[in-house]
Amino acid sequence: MNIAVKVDESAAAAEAYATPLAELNPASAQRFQDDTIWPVFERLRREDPVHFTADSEYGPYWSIARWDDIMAVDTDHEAFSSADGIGLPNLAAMAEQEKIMGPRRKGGAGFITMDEPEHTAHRKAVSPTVAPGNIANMAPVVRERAGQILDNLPIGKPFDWVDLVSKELTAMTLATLFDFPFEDRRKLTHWSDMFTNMPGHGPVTSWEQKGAAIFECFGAFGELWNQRVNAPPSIDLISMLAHNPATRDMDQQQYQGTVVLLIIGGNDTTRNTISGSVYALNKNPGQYDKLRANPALITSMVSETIRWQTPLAHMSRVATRDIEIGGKTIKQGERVVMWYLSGNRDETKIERPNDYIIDRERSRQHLSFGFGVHRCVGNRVAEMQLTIIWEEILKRFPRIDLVGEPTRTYSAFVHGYESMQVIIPARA
Amino acid sequence: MSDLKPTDRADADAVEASLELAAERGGDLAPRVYARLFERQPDMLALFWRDSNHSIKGEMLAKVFEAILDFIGPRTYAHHLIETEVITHEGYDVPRNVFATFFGIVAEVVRETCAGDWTPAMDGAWKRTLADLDHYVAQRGPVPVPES
Repeated sequence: MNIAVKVDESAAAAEAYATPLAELNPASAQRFQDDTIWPVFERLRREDPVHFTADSEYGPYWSIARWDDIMAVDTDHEAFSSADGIGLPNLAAMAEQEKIMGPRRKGGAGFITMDEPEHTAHRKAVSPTVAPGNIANMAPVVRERAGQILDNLPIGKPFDWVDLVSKELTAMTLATLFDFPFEDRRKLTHWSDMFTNMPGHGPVTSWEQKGAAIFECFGAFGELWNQRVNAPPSIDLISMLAHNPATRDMDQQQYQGTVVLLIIGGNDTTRNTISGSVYALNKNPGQYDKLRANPALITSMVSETIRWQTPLAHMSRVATRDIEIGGKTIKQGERVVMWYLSGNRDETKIERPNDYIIDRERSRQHLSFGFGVHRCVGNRVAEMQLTIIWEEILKRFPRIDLVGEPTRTYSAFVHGYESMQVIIPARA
Repeated sequence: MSDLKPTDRADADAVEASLELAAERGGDLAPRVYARLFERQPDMLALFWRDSNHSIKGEMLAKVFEAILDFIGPRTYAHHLIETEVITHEGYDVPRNVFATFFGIVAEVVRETCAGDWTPAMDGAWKRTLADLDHYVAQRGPVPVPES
């Protein structure tokens, strides 16, 4: 059971600064769930921006905390490989998962865990689905569905915004992108949560239950593949993969890895930013007033929220050779974590980075989509959904009020919300 | 590590001086840069259909200026960024030659904004910088895709 508790921020800051640097483990999931991670990154940016954690639940790893160093790592895909996975692998969890799932190939999350030239060939198979032209075709459908979701929300009664809005809209969009059975769309969000959580967190109660959900997901997507490969090509993601010469012969694990990537990438990021926007606007009522007074600010508000929330806190790589970053030598084979969450709060790059300012001069200046060959392929879909939901919200509701503190995700990777109680006092 | 030698100090100073001058005189260069891009590559206009407040175009140009400054200076990421942006944009049907066109347009607009204060040193420095940038745009061939 996850219970939302607001932890004393000053005590958390004192603890972050009192810990000897050598013992500082910025990937402690508890700090993310308690929302007390900020002083850790503030300290690292000041005192040790390329930081080595020798011992942790993830094994040894480097943390990259500043914007410029993150850019240097993220754009250098030859020196920093993605093939061994793009998240920090919790060693105990990996061992448990392997007992259930059997041995899996390293990486294992589709093209995001491939290096060149294989990566780009696979990525190109799906990119037409999320290219500007197809997004323009999708936008009216997303708008209609967003309207339906909002029109069905209770008025004057508290409800979970994460469940009824953020998850529902992203599930609908993802079902469309996959041409997945629409009535089963919430399975996509459920599977996404099963992939990203450990027992005791989110909907996961045991390794066996997690394994069963993953097998169910892979079974469903195996059937979809078989349908699409025997049908004429269409614009949905599975058909694109099944018919593209670069991907149609990929093995089962590669396909399953790609499914994991597309489900998580299409789900967690957008839904946590939708939730994050409601949270941020409530915590910054002056900004909410500004938005209501001038809905033309929605596009810059969306970008500011993507920066401020940073729905994926990090991406990791493995050094392919000895390389110097920020004056420190990272050895071949060592894991390197780019903390986008920290880079997006880098005081040397962004003015007043901890403030939420919806009309920033350069609101699109953020690291949340990454840079380099692995830059988020679905970033335009995410922005389109966020823009449309807020355009439709402002037509309908003068206010959405936060009720208490949200429950945050127990993860150093997905930076989001399990639940967020809100109340809509009245329609416009 | 970059496979071209770093930009000559004098060239870097000249390019930086021209950018500073253009920023002082021209304010926001984005409208002129993109007007010229869409004139020469009309097919690019449709890709910006969502950019109602011009923030996408503005941020892209800001990134280009930052990348040029990094490229002529410490070169910590710009050369890699250019290569990788070429690859990711090909996924959106943006051919790599558009990058060379875009850098060239940026140089033209900077030159026109500097007007009478544009110097031969700036001219030579920009030509050499554009040639170096083009190296990173052009050097990687298309990613091989298995035969159908």
